[in-house]
Amino acid sequence: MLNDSSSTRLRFIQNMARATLGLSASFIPAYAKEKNHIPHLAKAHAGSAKHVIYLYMSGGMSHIDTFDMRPENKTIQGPVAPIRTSADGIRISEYLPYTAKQMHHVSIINSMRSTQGVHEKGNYFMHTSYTARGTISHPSLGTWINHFCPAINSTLPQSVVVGGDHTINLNPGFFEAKNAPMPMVTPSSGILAVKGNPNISQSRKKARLEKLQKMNATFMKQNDMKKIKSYDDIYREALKVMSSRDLLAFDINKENPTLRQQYGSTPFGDACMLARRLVEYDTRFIEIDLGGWDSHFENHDEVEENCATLDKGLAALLGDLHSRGLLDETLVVLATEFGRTSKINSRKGRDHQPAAFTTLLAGGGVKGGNIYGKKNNDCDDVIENEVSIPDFNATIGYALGLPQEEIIISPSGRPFTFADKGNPISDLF
Amino acid sequence: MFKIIIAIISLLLSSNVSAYAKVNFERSVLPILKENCFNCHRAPYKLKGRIKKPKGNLRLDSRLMILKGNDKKKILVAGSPRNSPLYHLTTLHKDDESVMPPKGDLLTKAEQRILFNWISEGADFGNWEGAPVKSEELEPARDFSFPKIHEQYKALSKSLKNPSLTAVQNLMDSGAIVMRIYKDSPALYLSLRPCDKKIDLSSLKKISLNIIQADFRNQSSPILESLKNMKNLQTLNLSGTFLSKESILALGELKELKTLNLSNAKFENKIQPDLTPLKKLKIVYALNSDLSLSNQQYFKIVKTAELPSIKQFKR
Repeated sequence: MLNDSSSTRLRFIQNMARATLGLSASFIPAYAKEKNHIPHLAKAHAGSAKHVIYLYMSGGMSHIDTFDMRPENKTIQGPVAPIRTSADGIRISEYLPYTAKQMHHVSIINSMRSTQGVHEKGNYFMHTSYTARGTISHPSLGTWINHFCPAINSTLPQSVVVGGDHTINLNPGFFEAKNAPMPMVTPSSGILAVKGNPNISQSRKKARLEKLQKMNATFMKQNDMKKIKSYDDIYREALKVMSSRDLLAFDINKENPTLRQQYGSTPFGDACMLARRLVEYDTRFIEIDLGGWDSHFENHDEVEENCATLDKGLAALLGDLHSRGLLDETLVVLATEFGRTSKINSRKGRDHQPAAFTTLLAGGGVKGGNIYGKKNNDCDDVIENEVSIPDFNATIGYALGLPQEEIIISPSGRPFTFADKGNPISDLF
Repeated sequence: MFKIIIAIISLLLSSNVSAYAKVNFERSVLPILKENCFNCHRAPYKLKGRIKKPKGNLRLDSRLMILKGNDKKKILVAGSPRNSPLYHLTTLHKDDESVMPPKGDLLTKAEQRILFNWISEGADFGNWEGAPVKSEELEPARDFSFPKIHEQYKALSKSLKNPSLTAVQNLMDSGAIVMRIYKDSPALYLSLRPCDKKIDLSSLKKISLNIIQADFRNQSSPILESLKNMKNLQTLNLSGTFLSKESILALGELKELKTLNLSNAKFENKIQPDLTPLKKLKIVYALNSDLSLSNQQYFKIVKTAELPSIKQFKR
């Protein structure tokens, strides 16, 4: 009954799909799947890291109140003091007492410089290494890593994003849709809709899927295009996830309640704990967003409140990863779109400052108890070892062993590389 | 007939890109570079009393410098124009920020074609050398593609034979993940964790010397015992695994081991492994495990979790 010639509706949908999915040429060097091919752990070299946990402080984290303090200058520092840490000579904010005990694992990068002073554009730049422009959409970090790193768990998504601006951090850009990370809403409820309808038996489900494949077969044959195949791959991958025995990875209720408290029992803490579980189940990239850093008003109150959440989550994550032997192979990144001004404004807030800010790297072969780069005395400019956003992302790529010089040609014929023109900071390793 | 004549004439006219002769660098390519690129990409020179340096640290006025590229990247991959920015960047849209040349007219289609053909044919410079080059200019670009910390794998890879592909395929068919540590290296990473079918022990044995990093979590006896053959193993994950007496003994054979993860691992009758022969061992993760070694070892043991205390922190 449902064949092409008789069904105009089907024909209409087919044509729609052809038109909307586009006729772009295939441009992605698919991993050879022929027999006897051994993939590479990383395409370029054995990276020091297999996994990345990317903690994104959206809104612009104040560096001067957290990791790069100026206690000698009270007018710009305001009412917050530094405390000693587990790393010799490194002092961080009293807002972060637990993290202070983990600083021997951490490299602080004090010389970050961005060119983007608006949240969305700064966020885009951080996540893609390219500045936003109208003519092209750039893939996010999670997508790039999905593209370059072959799976070390064949049944779970390789790249998972918890929260944040999904138009940026889930964006597949010019890659196929299947390369985009998998989004998660709340870490405590696991992934939704993976159970399937309990009223439908396995045999019926199988029959339905077979029918779907039959119906799709003609269309797929007539439109032999990567992009269309990619949508089919997404279905396949979803089914694989649904039947994966590793779904347990997403169930943080399996963890000891005490441990959960140590992570802070906040959505962020839960997500950090989930990230550690996912690393154990060999997920490559997990991004977690912690918002609320845009402290234009009452900066110190806001930062203190946010730090309480960050502190427990980050400290527990580093400690937990380390004690399970996972920190050696997991790069933990703390990133944000820009820093905040040293000058405290009339509403006791701090405004945007892309010219100089701070990020952290820990684990994954990165030196611990280390400070890289320097800001000036006023904490508003970089004076030593400037690190651009592409440099920072290139460092993440370096740890993972990504082929950073490999040029990917977008369907529109333009050349792109993992971290644009960034150079990794190899001194950090 | 008329069409054929036109075809012949047009072939003769486009003598530079004739289908038969190779592109001659000095006759066809050099004039294009001279006209479009040399203005910015040549040896430093004085202009109005100021020294002009080559843009982007890239010189195109010498064979050696074209082959070198700039400090970061090569610009020419002989045989592959698509991967050669020297060709590729000239083909971009005029509004693209990376297009070359950035100002003035772009290359014509015919000129692009010449570059394309010249590179596809292997980028032969003939006898051309171009402007002189100082030795310091030829210092190789910093190589980020192969970090120093992985030199160890490089040396090791040289001493290894290529792994048996059938053995690898057998393991992959049972769900194992096998990967080369880096491109074309015979050194392998092996994870048996996702295996859902029976693992072929003889295949495992065949590639045992190639395995440098291994994940043997939740494996049981006959497979764990096969560890003893993996004489080159450097990183081993046995987290959460129950180890039989024989597999505990097998651990003592892993002379190259540097990192051992035994967190949550349980030992049969709490028999302790003898790790003293493992002279290269640097760290053992032993949180919640049956391992009862004292901390007085030449390697580090992680036995306690450094987690935030639950007591509310007071300022």
